[in-house]
Amino acid sequence: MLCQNCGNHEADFHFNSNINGDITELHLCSECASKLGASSQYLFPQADYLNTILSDLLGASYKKVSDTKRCPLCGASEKNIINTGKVGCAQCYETFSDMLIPYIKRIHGNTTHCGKAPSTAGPEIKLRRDIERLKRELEAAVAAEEYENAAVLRDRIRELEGGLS
Amino acid sequence: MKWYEKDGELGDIAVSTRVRLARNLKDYPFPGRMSQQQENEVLHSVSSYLISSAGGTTFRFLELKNLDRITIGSLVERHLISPELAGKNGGGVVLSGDDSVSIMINEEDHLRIQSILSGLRLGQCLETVNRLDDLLDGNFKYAWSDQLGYLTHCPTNLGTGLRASLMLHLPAHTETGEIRRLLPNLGKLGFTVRGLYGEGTKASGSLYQLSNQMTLGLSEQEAIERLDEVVRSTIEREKNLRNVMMEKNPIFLEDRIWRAYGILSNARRISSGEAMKLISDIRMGVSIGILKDISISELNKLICNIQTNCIISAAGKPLTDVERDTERAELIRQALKPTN
Ligand SMILES: [Zn+2]
Ligand SMILES: [Zn+2]
Repeated sequence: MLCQNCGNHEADFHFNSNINGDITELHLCSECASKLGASSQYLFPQADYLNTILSDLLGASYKKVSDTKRCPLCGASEKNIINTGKVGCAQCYETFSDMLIPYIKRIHGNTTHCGKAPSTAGPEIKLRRDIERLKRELEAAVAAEEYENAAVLRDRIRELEGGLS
Repeated sequence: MKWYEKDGELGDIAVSTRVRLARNLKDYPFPGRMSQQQENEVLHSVSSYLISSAGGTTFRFLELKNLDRITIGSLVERHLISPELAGKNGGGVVLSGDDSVSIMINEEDHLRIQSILSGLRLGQCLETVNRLDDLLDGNFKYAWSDQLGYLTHCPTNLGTGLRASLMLHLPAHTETGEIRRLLPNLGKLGFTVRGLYGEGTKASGSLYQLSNQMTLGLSEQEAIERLDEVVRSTIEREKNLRNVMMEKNPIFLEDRIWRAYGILSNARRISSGEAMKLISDIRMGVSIGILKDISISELNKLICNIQTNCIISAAGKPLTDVERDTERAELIRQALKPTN
């Protein structure tokens, strides 16, 4: 896992806190940890202290914080998000994507979901999900030596894959 | 029978498994920015849908604003609601009869679908939350992005919204100081460890919670497989450390376990801290075969029942500190009494 502050070094310091239900987690390289004065707070730091670091982090990764840009759906501003470490609504992820995407990349090391999808997902996601499911069925069919069934599944997978761009 | 009264795989070290999914409804702002009316709409539409369409499961719905402080505290101690939800008047929870399923409403996210079972049972927990997720997906529109997955209030939960946790009993890691090495190592692999029931840096009763960290770019299945692997190797390591302790100084360990048994089966009043520490010793004693005739599930039940709010809640009336500690000692003596 990479350092959430610089994004360049392996994170050696891992901070967790669960104080009054406020769960905060932070991963830093040793350099950034000492720079942020966090090294003495190893393991179970105080929540207030950690929230400051987290919002510093979000703030530092995005210099031009604007207080005028608002989310059309929930009214949250960039400042609100930085102060709380949380977005206001689903729409915020689009409204503030310039600020959020680099931050998300730092937290997760990546910005593309892989896994389950709901019924509201786009058609391409559904298609991919169907293909995944058929591939699992195919594996099971091969393992069970049901070769006729496997051939049918293989054709169906090819057909669906043709529909992907 | 409650979930913690049943035995689970590797249950002597893996106390319990929890898996939760964070979900939000598309047409509402996240809980931090909801009006009271919106809170009410979400609370009542979700709870009534779950109760009316749950099939074979019997659910009960508890609204936080109708509960007293002690009841709320005992729900937190039983991991049925989070401390965060405990502080929210506009929140609620839907619980299954055996308390193994809890769906928190208006917590940090609109929905937190949770399954908890004893032992190491990640696959089974995932199956349960997936089933409930599908059920809710059939009736509500989720907040979703094709790129970022399930959208959550806090960006740390984006993607699958899945958090899987194991509560592990690691007395040998604690005793040998090996726990200090375990924490950063697991951190590097994308897992977090925190002490349980504990305050400050010391985990109470050597209970630790190990969870996955990443939710974006990793499927649900991959996330739990990785956690399962790490948990199994941690359990293996714990067993090795116990063996080493036993070989090096058997009388030290035996003495400690029997002393713990002696105190707990005779004490007339006991604090929660001392009880947790001694139950930890007994649990290890059962696990390595020094103590017979005590079941791990009995100890699990005990750990739940001796927490402060649980004791007061069971008593049904306010208790002084001394009365509470007396009741705790009584509960423990009952549980350890040899059954003939
Ligand atoms: Zn760094
Ligand atoms: Zn918004």
